[in-house]
Amino acid sequence: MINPIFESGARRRMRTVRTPVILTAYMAALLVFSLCMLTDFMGQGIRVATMRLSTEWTIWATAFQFFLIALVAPALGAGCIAGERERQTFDLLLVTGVGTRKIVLGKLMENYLFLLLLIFSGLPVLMLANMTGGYRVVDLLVILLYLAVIALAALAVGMVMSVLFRRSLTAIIAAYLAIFAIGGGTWALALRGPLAAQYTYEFIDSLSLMDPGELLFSLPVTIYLCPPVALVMLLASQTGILHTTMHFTMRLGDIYMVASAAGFGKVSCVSIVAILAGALLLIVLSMALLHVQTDVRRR
Amino acid sequence: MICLNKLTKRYGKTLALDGLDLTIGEGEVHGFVGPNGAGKTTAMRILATLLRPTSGDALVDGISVTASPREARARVGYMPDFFGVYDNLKAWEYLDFYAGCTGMAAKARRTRIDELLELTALAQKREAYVDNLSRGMKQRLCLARALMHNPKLLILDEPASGMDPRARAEMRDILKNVSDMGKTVLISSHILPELAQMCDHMTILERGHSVFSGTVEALERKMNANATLVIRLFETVEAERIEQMKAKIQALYGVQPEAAQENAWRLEAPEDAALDAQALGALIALGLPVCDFHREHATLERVFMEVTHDDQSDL
Repeated sequence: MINPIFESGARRRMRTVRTPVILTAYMAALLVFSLCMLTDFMGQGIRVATMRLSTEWTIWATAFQFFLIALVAPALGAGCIAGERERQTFDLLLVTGVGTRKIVLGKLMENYLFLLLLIFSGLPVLMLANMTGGYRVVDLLVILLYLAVIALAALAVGMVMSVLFRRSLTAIIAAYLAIFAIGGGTWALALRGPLAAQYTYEFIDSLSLMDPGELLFSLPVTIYLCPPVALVMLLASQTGILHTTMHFTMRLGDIYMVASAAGFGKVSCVSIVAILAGALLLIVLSMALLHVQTDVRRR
Repeated sequence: MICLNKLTKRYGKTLALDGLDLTIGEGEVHGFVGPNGAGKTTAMRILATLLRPTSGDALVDGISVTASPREARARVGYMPDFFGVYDNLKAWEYLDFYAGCTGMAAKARRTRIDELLELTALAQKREAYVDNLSRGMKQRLCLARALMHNPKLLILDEPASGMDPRARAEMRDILKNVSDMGKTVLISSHILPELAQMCDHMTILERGHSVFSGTVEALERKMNANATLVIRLFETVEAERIEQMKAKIQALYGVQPEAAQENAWRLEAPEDAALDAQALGALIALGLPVCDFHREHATLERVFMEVTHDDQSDL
């Protein structure tokens, strides 16, 4: 049986005017990138220079989608449970005996599928880069997978706040603060954490002699949980053109060198798995918190 | 069907329920009355497994709401006083959604939805969007939702709240049909005469405990036990004749009438038609210009005001 909360929520969402408006606005924004790509190689044919340009536009389009998802997903998640409380429909759900687990999963599925719709509606734009030889299809699909994982994680953060706070607005603000804290905090901890102390001159000098697997373990754990860093490493491993950016502007310094020796692709894979695991943990936390809040049994 | 055993609920320093004891039998239509803050909604929410009591327990069909809330929920249909509806859902979809939440199989839902829409006089609004329905229709739809899983107990918190008289009458008819199905119904309301019409038992709550619990007949007997006799004269008469009138009334009823207004007197005495006829005859024989001689019965509101003003009243 389909989760009734998901089914009803999805049905209602597709009936609102807001949904096509959001989709249209999203596609219109991505259209800008596709137009830039097309105008760059129009009349020039497919050459190395145009391939490079389309690769760069794809990176910008991906970064744009990343920030959009990071903006939209927490708000969607924060409205899940708090919105039901504000609308005074939450008690009616509880008395049906549907259970807090189904409520959380149903709300999550409803909002996550909408986010996936947004993400995959950007595929035609990204595929333009493949047409011009700037990107492989498999790499584009990995980007979409990464965005899907980020969407789930951001949604999960919003969901936790939605359970903790009774008002949607408070939950949304808390969700955004949490997102910034996670993004900035994981990066800061990586730079200042205990593992950074091991990056002595001798250690850096011996990187090329170390096993990649061993190198993966020598990176700070929090770097794997930093979504922007994971994105940059993923794009760098796919295109090879972000190394300088990472080295100088992200100030990862020694971490950059260790990650480079381990392989940006491997680091980004571990990162995607770690962020996914974090998202699943947050979802379980939401269920547990909601259960505790609504459990009437004596302790 | 319902058994509240020393039910207590505290919100911080506020005591909402104070050791409430109450038993409601199966098939009863039981009214819950009380001033704002008496604890009616709190008691109902505990029975609906939405609130954990501070101490004591509540049993629904012998099942503890705190020990086995899941089993208790299956037996309870709850309609809160304030509830929201989802936008962009049709009436049948709204019921279908809640039917799905209760775990009802898809095949059984359609028949059940049609039955409930018929019962609540909403069959013609099947395809209407819920947020476009009137207040009364939304209330009826919420009642249909509460009945979806065929609960044995229906808890209705102010079901006629905000409804016009016609809509309230329609709701009363629907609830009559529901109670005829053998369900136990617990209703709270501020509209006392309406509650007295619908219910066969009533409990009056004040400050978290019961000040009266019994049949509506018992409450009506209390109302009629001492009905006020009102005597009014058309014009002012001599003081001597007034004294004669008072003496006559004293002799018949054993109590002196008290002056109420100019040329009007009142006395509290048990209702006795024969005695009243005798008294009227005696006053006319005295030559008094009697223009009004009637009994004023205590209204339900008045009994309620007296009972809840002084919670030591012996009922």
